[in-house]
Amino acid sequence: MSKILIVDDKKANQEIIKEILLSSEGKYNVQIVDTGEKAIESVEKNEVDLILLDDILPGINGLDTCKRIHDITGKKFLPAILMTKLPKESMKMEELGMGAIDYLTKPIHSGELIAKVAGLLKIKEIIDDSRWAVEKANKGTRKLYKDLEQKNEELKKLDVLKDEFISTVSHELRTPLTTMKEFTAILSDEIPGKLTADQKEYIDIVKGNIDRLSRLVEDLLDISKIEAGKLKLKKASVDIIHLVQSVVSTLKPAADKAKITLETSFAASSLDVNLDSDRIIQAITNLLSNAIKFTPANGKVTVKIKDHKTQIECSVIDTGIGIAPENLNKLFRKFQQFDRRVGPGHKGTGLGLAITKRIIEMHNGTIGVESEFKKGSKFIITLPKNIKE
Amino acid sequence: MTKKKILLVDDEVEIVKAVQIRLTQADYEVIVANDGQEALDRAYKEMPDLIILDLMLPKMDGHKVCGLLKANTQYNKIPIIIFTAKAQQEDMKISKEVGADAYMTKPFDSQKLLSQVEELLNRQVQESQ
Repeated sequence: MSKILIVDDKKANQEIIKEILLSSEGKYNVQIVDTGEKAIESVEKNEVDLILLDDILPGINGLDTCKRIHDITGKKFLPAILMTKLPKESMKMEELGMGAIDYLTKPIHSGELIAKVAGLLKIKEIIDDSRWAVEKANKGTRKLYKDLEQKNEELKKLDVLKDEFISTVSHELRTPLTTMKEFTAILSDEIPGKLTADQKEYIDIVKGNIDRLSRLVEDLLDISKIEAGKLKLKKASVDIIHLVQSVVSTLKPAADKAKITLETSFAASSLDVNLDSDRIIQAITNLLSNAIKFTPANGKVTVKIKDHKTQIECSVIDTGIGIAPENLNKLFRKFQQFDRRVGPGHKGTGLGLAITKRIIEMHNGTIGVESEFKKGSKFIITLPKNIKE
Repeated sequence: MTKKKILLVDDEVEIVKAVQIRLTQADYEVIVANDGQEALDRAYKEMPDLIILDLMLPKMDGHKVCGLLKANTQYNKIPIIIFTAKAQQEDMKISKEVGADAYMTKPFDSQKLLSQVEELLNRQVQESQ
């Protein structure tokens, strides 16, 4: 039920308009006041949906009353119809824009009155509904922002916890390993006194196992960092030929011991690539030690580096036991170990390739494998040079 | 020739013992502190020629100890090796910022540690000549 306020000081007019409105099809609640001041009071106190004003009133006139009321209602849409004797053309457009929304010329035509009232009330309904919908949407958006802010705070706290956890776990695992490693080395170096052959042998066994445990701990810590998204690269311009050569030199003794030929084929004597030295050494060491591990005596492992202008390609090729086709796509997953043999030197964590893959991918490189079961495998890495950085 | 004095700071008593054995074997005099506050006190009192400093210390952490010593004109010439099991990228960055002269991770290679110590002590001697 819309509330209409009639503002007119002549009783006859008041009655006529009221009569026209109430006998129309619309459901209206009609209030009457006789001055502009009372109209303003009424609007301040009550909910009014539409005002019908006579332009000539005692005190402030209809148009000024309109302007005042619009100042009060502000954003809220309150349609007003000004009833005036003056013909349309003489009504200044600015005056119209500043207060009245529409007008009717006197004598009032009932059809016109009803149509304009109904029309303006319909517009008000639509505007009010839209405003309500927008406010609801805004409320929803505000709540969403609040929720997001909260989630963000929680994520930040979780991130700090992850950092602290990794830090603490690293420290807690590495400390006893350090102590064990140091004291076995001190014994092995015969600082407290000479050792018998048996004692030397047993201490060497302990040392070997401490190293094995250390490698496992470091792999687990790396995987934890990768999972937590906390593995960070420290890149610099590095000669990759020199880097790979140093890994080959480090692993040559192991290859010799296993009676495997270790060869290299490098496209240049030096090639600069933007990379994290320690991590790429880790990756190449992983591939090369795998190749040596899975190649039988009298086999061959070759490391090749090719220059592809914007990127380099590094392959590790072995004549080893190869990988069965059904295992190829599982190769880079965590904790995968195929053909685990009993005996020294063949055990691993199953994490090496997963870590290697992640390191290469973090460099925006690629890693792939070709293999023939029982004939050999070829692991291929590409790395963008990115030297312009 | 007087032995060079090294202040070794770590709260892990066994690690201290192991490193002390190595340093003593290499003919250095070793003094020990087990927390950050003690480290500062002993540094001020004894003016060591080099400090080996763990990061995770009670009372005051290693980075703060390093920073305070390097900020003090009387003590900032003493080379400091930061020595830790944490090895996070962030730690290395902070170590540089607080003025550490070297950074080593645990488990460590005792040969590497000894050569690092020697290198820093020689550099000290050269700079003061």
